[in-house]
Amino acid sequence: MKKRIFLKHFFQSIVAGVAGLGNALYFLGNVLGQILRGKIRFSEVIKQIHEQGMQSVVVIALTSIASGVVLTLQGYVMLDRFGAKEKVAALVALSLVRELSPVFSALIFSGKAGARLTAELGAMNVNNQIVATKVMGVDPIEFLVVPRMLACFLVLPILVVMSEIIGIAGGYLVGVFEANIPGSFYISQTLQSIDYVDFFSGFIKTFFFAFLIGWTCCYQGFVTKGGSLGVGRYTTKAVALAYILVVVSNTILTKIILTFWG
Amino acid sequence: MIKVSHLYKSFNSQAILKDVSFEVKEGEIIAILGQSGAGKSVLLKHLIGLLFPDQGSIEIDSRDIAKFSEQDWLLLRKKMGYLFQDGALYDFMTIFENTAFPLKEHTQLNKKEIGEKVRNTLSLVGLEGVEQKYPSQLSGGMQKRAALARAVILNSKILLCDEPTSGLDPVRSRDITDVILNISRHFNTTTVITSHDMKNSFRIADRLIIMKDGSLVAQGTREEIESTDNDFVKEFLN
Repeated sequence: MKKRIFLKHFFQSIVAGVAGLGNALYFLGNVLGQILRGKIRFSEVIKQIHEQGMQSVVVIALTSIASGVVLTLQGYVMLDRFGAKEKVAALVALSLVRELSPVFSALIFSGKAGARLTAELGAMNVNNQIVATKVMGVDPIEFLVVPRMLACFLVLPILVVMSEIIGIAGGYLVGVFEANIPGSFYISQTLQSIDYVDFFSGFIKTFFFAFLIGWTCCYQGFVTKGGSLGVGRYTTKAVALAYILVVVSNTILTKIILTFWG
Repeated sequence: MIKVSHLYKSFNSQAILKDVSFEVKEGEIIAILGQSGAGKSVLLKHLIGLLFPDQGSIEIDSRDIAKFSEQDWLLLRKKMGYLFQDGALYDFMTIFENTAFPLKEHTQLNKKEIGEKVRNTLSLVGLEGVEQKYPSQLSGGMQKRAALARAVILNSKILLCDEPTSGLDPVRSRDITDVILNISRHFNTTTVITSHDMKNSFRIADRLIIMKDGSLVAQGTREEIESTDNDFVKEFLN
């Protein structure tokens, strides 16, 4: 009996999961359809860029400087054992540019801007504002979702570049004042170590992350139900899903990039 | 103007609407009364195309809405105003921006003309001097007035009001129904109101419809409803 109930729930979960994915893909198709038809409200996009960017910038900056500082402290101690402490600038720059800044920024962006997207759209949904948009003869996807998703796509790459610069600056401070590496040498080592392949291998990933975060968080907000409790539940779900998607897609993308690009 | 014929609707095999038929003439105010869960809001959502019937038909201006394309719906919705139970004003817009929204979306009016029209419509619903406030800064009654202004600002031919007096005290309830009456007469709109507020509905409606468990149990003028022999209606009126 217990086995039968377990199997029933198991298959119900699979069916619900497939149906959910189908609905999410249909939602994405609608969003892309609007974008391809040129139905973009640029003033709304700019407003969203400002809101999403401002919300995440401080936390990303703090995390980046801390990452740069810790990475340099640890790297300097390790490399010093092998008599290669001057290589710490390259270690920090490459780590940040290729991997840490894109992933950390995407995770923070999910928790800040992503959560806001879901909560905002979710609250609008449970208060009938999305239905009201439709009733007024305006497509809610075009008016509410397209600007938010496009803003995600534009803001995250900018935040990642900012994160890389701040992280490297943090490393510079430790390298120069703690490890006594000459400042000009640290800078030249940093610039020499970063090839365009290194920069773009990390930068390209941010567009995938932004797309996944925007899609997941907007979709979860758009289908929120169950009043204020529902808004909390769907927001948590959206952030958790966005985290998982960022981490999993990063693993796959890193493997692909390393295989084809080096 | 609106003709509903033998409408049936179920959710998860639970019948919500059962053989509902009625007509609303142009310029008429109809109040649909009934207890909570009688199917009033579901019926209203069918009239604006948010829900579609399992059986039966709805005709608006002698056109079957089941055959409407997206473009037809867009054109119809420009002629219809819908007042939501909770107003459904955008939180992130001021009252001015909320009221101006349909004009910005569907007309070619310039900034000055929009401003004038918004102020005139807000004045019609008795809301002046609150243009720059956000919905959260207004009382429930004022939010409903603002939502009503937004619903009719395109000179709507049809106005649908879902429980306009719910959550309001008797004075505010009377105020909002008076505003609906004034607006309906001013714009000559065909108005359908769902409510369980008998007193105010009897006061402003040309005809009334009483629903019970998804079925229509009585319809007619105030006098016809008051003189009916139906036990449920008698109990409901008392």
